[in-house]
Amino acid sequence: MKIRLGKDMKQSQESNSSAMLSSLADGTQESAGDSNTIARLFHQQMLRYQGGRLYPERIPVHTMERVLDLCCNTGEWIFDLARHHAQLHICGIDGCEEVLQLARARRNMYSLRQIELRQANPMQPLPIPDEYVDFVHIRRGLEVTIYPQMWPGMIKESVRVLRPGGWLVLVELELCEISGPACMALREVCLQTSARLGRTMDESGMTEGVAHRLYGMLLQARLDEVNYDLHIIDLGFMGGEADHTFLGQLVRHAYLIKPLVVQLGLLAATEFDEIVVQANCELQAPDLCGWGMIVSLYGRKSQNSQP
Amino acid sequence: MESSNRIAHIGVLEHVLHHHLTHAFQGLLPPAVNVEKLKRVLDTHCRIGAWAIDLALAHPEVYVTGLDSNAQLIELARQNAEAAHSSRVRFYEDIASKQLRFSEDTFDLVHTFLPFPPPLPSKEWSPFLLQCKTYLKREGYINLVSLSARLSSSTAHQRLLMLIEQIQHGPGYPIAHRVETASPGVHFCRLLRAANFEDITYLIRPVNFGGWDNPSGRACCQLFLNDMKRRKHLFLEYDLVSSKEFDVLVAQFQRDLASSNFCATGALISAIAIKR
Repeated sequence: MKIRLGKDMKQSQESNSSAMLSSLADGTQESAGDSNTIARLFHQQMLRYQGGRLYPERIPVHTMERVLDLCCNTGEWIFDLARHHAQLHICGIDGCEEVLQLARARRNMYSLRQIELRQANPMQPLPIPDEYVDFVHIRRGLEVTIYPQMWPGMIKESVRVLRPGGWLVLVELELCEISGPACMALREVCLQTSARLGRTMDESGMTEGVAHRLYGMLLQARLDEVNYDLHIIDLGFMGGEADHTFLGQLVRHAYLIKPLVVQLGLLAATEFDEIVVQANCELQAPDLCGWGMIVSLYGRKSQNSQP
Repeated sequence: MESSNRIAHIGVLEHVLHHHLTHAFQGLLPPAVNVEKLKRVLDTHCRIGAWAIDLALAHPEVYVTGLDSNAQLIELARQNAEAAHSSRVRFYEDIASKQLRFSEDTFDLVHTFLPFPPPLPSKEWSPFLLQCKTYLKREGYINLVSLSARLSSSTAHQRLLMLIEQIQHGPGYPIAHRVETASPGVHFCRLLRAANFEDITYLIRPVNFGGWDNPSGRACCQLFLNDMKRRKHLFLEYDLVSSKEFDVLVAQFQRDLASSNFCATGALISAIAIKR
């Protein structure tokens, strides 16, 4: 859940709280090595829980030529896709130059000419012609769509660059329940903070609420064959490294927004620190149990659609 | 007449729920249970008996006893067993498993499925599990299953789910002092360990309740909504919502459920352990 905010996006922020979140993100940037390791672990765990699938079974990638990965981060998904599909030209776009530099270094090291990496704001019109790609993939777009109302625009832009018959895939996740009360409290405080900033879609504050609302957005974008696959993230003692990958990210994210949590009066600073210590202990519990959900939504651009 | 129609309606929706969840769970039992070892099975919250009957039909050597505190559901369960020509299933009305007593070491498997909130109050879990343990043979299994439906595209649905959480925790419970999450499922392993069960494992499967091509999933949500309406007095009792606001939420959820945009999911959590 590392927060990455491009300059253009920062300018679009209106509230003081959001500006504070941006400056926090800038001030706590992980090192390049950390970013790579975190992104790789995250990708591996996501892949594991999706049964090793890089995309839904329904998507005929073997017949495709061009793929766009929007919000590509360090390009983990792209490199895996390139490994399995040498025929593809894959373009990765991200708003953050630092993570793209890591991806470029890796691409150059392995001379992967099929991969192109560009810096662009995913919230702005994309530097790609109409009806140019066969497949647009967006994983954890929530990290860059600062406000929920930005989603329809990003979907519309994705549909614009898709060829008729091309596929759009959105992959989001929700961490739902954890047996450890401190882990649960951290999750809830993160959600409440996001809700106060207007960054969630679930007004109850129980969930981010994005993954499930994207389904309706895909239908409203007039895509065909809209559907979704579900995969459980096992956050318990049988989940192996998953609890540390996903719950570790939760703790890191909580640290990032701690000043905001305190400013909003959700928790006192000392209270917050105690919960974090307790949450780290809970990760070692022999009967830790919890789950999250990966929702992989997809839809196909109509063959008869007009540019 | 109206009452019998309502019961029949409950029966139909319960069957839909059972089949939907069995499909999501990929079977009646988790793979950790060795079915060949099963002779006598106890279903502690059997509702209309669908799981008990299906288990008996699938395994001709298994005898199943089903309990439920709801007399109307037990009557439906008996009718269902008769219709299925299943003579190896017996159903009894049982208030909180206290009225009916079994001998020690009777069952090879105790199965408990709590599809709807509220679950057992926290203080009742420990005596309940100890009682289950008494009824179990040595090397017998206990299988606790819980459905956690938390995620939805419907704001009204989410709000109702949150109100259920609040009923379970008590209104105004401060976040920093929260001691439990809503669904009992993620706590099963801890509870089983505390009751000295061994070889504890769990299985978590996703359940889809939404989507334009998922009528059985939506029917399950309808069952959930009906259950909420039946429990309206609880929401008012805890002063969590006004009667009018509750009715508005229910009406909105009903509309959302009918929309093609409706998307909702949850998880089935099954914890399995052995009595040594």
